[in-house]
Amino acid sequence: MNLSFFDQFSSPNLFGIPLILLSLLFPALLFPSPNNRWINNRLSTIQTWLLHLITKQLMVPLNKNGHKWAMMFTSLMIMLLTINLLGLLPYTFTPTTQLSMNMALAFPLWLATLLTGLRNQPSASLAHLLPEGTPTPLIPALILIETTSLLIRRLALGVRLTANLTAGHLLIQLISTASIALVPTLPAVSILTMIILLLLTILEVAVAMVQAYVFVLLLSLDLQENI
Amino acid sequence: MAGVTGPLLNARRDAPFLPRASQRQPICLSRGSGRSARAGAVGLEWFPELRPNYQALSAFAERPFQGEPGVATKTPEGNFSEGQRGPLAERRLMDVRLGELPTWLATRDFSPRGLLGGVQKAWNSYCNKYINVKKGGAAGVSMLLAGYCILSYGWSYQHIKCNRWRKYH
Repeated sequence: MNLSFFDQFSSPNLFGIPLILLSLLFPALLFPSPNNRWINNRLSTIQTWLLHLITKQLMVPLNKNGHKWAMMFTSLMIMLLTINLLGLLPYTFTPTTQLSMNMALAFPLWLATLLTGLRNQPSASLAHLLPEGTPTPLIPALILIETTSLLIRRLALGVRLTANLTAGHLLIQLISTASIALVPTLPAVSILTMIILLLLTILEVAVAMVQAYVFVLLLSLDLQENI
Repeated sequence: MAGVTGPLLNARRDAPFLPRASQRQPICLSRGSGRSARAGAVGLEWFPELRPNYQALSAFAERPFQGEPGVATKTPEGNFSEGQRGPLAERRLMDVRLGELPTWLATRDFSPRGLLGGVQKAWNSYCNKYINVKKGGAAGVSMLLAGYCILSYGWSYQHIKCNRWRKYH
């Protein structure tokens, strides 16, 4: 019964090759590598404009050392954006609905920012664990709490992306099933449901873009603290 | 400007109408006597096609620039166009007639390198036809996305076909 609703999140195999490989490699085909022409084709122009917009937005709050992370953040942003948006097409598979992939992205990147901070300015990084003005007896407990919250925030970074996309896909499938089931019996209600489905799809497109942005933004904020 | 007409006749095969003084320099920066008329063309050195030794780093190697293809004004002999004559091994897929297809396939190179070259050529042809044009539209990318959807459907068909007779979804 309900097994079918969650089937969209299991990676299908063909001759042992999982579809997730194709889903991860396909975005590379959609972005042509920019060449040295003065006026490019339209796709390259749009892509360059988008890259400039993203890079400016992410790099403005960072200092000069943080600009070394520009390529990492921008490519991460583009990849997440493309994967999320491609997942809204029919029959496609979204790799970012898999918790394993999101945690594999979130944890190492956050750890990299933390280790950068500990290496370059260790005392300032450790000082983030203790808010100002804490009464002295509370210090040990508060350090433990702050460390836990730091770890949980990173966990939340990965889980947030998974949960948002999974919930969106599930809702789309549920409502579309409902509207198809209602068409023979109550067509008016079915049309209403289809309008809701349309609005939901628009929301999903927005969510896909926003979630990618939020992911990268939080990482860049971490970097800002630690660099 | 008499020195310009000489190199025009000795040009390379893929840029017959661009004058060239040496292999290593971009065309417009070639040194010659009395080139004051060419001083204004300095900005052209950024075009990769004008540098013969330009090595692109992308995985999909670009075809060398061949200029604007001329419009054919002659009627081809025997109703066969230029690409459909000549030895079988040198023709492209679209120029091969149906009866010659098995023979043509036998002449193809099926080593990994040959297959990769074929894939690169096909991808470049697709890009040059639909994406690298002056007024490209949504069609180029939409066909890629549609192909991706169909491929995903085929990939998961074995799993999806169980949904056909399921009573409760």
